[in-house]
Amino acid sequence: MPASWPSPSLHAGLTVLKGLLPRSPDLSRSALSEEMARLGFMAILLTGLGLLFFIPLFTAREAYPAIFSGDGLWAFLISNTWEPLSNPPKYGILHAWLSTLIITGLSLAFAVPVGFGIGIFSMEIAPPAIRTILQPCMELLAGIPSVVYGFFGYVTVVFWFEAHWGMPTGESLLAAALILSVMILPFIASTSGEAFRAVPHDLKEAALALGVTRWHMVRRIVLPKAASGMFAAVALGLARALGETLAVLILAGNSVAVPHSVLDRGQPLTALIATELGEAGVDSPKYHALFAAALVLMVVVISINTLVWTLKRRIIQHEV
Amino acid sequence: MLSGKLFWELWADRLFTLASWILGGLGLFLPVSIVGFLIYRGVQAISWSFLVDAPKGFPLGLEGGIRPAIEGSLALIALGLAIAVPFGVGGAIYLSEYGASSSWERMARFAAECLAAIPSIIYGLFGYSFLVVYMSLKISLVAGGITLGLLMFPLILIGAHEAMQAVDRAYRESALSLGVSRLYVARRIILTKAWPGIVAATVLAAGHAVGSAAPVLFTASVIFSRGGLDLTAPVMTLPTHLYYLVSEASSPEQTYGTAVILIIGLLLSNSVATLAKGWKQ
Amino acid sequence: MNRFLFFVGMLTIIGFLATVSADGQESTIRIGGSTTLLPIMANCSAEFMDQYPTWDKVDASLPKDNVTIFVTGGGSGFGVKSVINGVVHVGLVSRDLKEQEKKLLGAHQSYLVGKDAVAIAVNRKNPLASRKKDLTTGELAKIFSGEVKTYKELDSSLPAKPIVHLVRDASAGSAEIFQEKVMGAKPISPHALQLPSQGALLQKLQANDYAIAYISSGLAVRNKNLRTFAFNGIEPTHPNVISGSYPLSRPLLMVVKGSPDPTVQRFTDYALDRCQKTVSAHGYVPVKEFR
Repeated sequence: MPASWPSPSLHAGLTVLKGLLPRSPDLSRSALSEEMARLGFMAILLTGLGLLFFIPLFTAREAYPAIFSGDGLWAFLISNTWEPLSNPPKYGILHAWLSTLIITGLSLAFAVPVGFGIGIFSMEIAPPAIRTILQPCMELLAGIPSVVYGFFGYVTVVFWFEAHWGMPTGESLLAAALILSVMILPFIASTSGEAFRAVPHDLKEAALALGVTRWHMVRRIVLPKAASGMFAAVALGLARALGETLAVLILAGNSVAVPHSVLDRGQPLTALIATELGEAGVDSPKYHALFAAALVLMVVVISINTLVWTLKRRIIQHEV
Repeated sequence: MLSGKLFWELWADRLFTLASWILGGLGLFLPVSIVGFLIYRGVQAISWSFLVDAPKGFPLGLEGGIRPAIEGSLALIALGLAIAVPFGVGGAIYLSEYGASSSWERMARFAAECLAAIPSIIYGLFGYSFLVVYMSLKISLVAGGITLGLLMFPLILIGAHEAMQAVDRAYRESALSLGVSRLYVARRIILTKAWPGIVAATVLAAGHAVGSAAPVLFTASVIFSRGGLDLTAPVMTLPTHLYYLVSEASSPEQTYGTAVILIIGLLLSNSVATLAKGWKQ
Repeated sequence: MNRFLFFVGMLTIIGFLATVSADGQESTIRIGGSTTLLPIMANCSAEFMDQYPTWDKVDASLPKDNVTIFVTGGGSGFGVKSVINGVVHVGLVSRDLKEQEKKLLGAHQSYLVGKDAVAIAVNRKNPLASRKKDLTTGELAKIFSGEVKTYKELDSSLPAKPIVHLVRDASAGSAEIFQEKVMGAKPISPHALQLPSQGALLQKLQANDYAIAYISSGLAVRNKNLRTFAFNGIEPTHPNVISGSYPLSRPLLMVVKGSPDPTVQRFTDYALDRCQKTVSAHGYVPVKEFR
């Protein structure tokens, strides 16, 4: 062994350690720094992911009192309304998740057909010049901050609703959904576009060589083959729509009534948290209720991601 | 004469082509018109004073500038990147070079994607209760910086991982077969080839974080500050200042101006990311 | 590897700096809470910083540090919670402190900066603006609870347009007073649009012809676009607030936990003295008129 090793005991200790690690033993110095590097990077990854795991765990812990003590889960989710000022105060999030549901559903209804259309257009029909402009255009749309979208929606959609349609207030679930659909459009367009591009070229060429129209080819070959990617695109759009805060805070009307129509005002879960957080004293019932609302959001988003992930695994397995 | 079915096929195809062109046109029109509208209305507000002065006027914010907000946003991003980049790139190196094709890699990647999808307000909620109150960091640059760092970390991890995976297997295989250590491979070969992609992912993550008001609203921001940066002091930020201006609506000029600054920032970061991605090594 | 170590080093330094707190007196002051007091305090602190760039100019016994004051909103509830949690030095509160809050605060100082009246207002194109000059408690409770849904139900000569209620969110001082003195046990209609600040209320009220709101009189009374109503026959004017005959008046307070640092004390003294003209410039009743 090299004569410049620091000390016999250190060397012995390290040898034992290295023996425990699943690698072929190699006592040279570069192998030592190699191990240090490997452990170092692993430590970084574990610390980072650990820190991030901490967030859902912390949320779950702080949400616990709102769900299991208090009025119970059913009351929290369904029967209670949000009345922090009444005596005794009641914390129910029915209006919030219903608002979230209506806004995200509506925005998907607008954004999915348009997004798929743009995806198909860019992959099948657009001349190369337009295809190259379309990409940065979608990236631009994806990058505009939520608060800027909220501002834009306020001076356009809300203003039009009040001035030209005579709505009592332009702020409504519909206004929020319209702007939200523009926000999620680029994600649906680019994800589905990639799915369309992944369809094997020869299949498409073969079909066209047989003389079918482009629409027929798209309908019969591209869409079925890209179906899982299209589904993933919708899921991605949904996950983004669920998480938007500032735009819906400005546009949805921030009212705690249970919405009955898309022209009503509402308060999605994200807006609820943003509005009430400042006033919630740490460890108060409202504080726990807000964490419970956050937990609901997180559970839904993670479930969507899990669904997409398992779908992706199944596709890979089927194609292999 | 064409048979009935063929007739429909041709017409459906024409309709399809027309619809595609309309939707494609919409895809071009929407971003250009939104950005164009905001820049058109806001460019008049941008002046040297707007960029360099603190808010002034009666009431405050009616005139003057937004320099403290620009400083605050840049400081928050710098702090957040100082946390997110080492963890993100280091973690990606491990995933890509050491843990490749193990189930650990897939789980870690899945975890990162889930965490990247968590709404930003939840990061703000966590930041407020854990960092600001429990850890007594108060509403400060450091609390907001950590929150943004946590927000950006999964995005950079995923982006860097993608960039490293994209490097051709052949480089790794041939280097390792020559007896070179994995660390050397990671540093000298993979990073060199992947760094444009890593830079692109970092810039996009930073752009996303700069525009997010929800994480910093309760962790770092105040409505009025004269500027000056101190880790333990709060800051004004561009998105929260825009939110304030939108709610108060006392100065449309200032509001459009702030929105334009954010848009310009977005255009810059998107351009840098596109340039980086196009950089051929 | 070196770059990695550099980052780790930076993080350690940053982490260390974060835990080092200012010892002795505070040269930065954090103020936050009521959105009614926000514009007043923002201008007041700007004047203070313009006049005294460093603390030793305020008082020779103070150090030569720069004067830095941060002002934010969040509502009276946020102000109280923040001063209890130690997140701000001075909490801005536009209502009386509740018993429970006083208990949580422990020893504290509460400085009256001025008084404000909560006025009921609509914009001048609102159907009610030309019809009525006065609203009673009963009428207001019916309107804001949602029992009365359209303007026609209030008065058959008015159009059948839905009433849009604008309110402040739960953290506001004005929300608490309105609930207590006008609504009583009746909850405010859940359909009400919650706004994040007094300024936002003003903005929406000016923009929407069918909206009715309770709002700081400072913002409403001198505004040509708005019409305010008398409450049970009493107008929300300064003399009525000073004499106490307008029932919906509320104190504008600065609250400090424990006893204030010398620097904080200097600022609160300034606010109670030189800033009083700022208070009346914004439309509120300065505390001097009560002495």
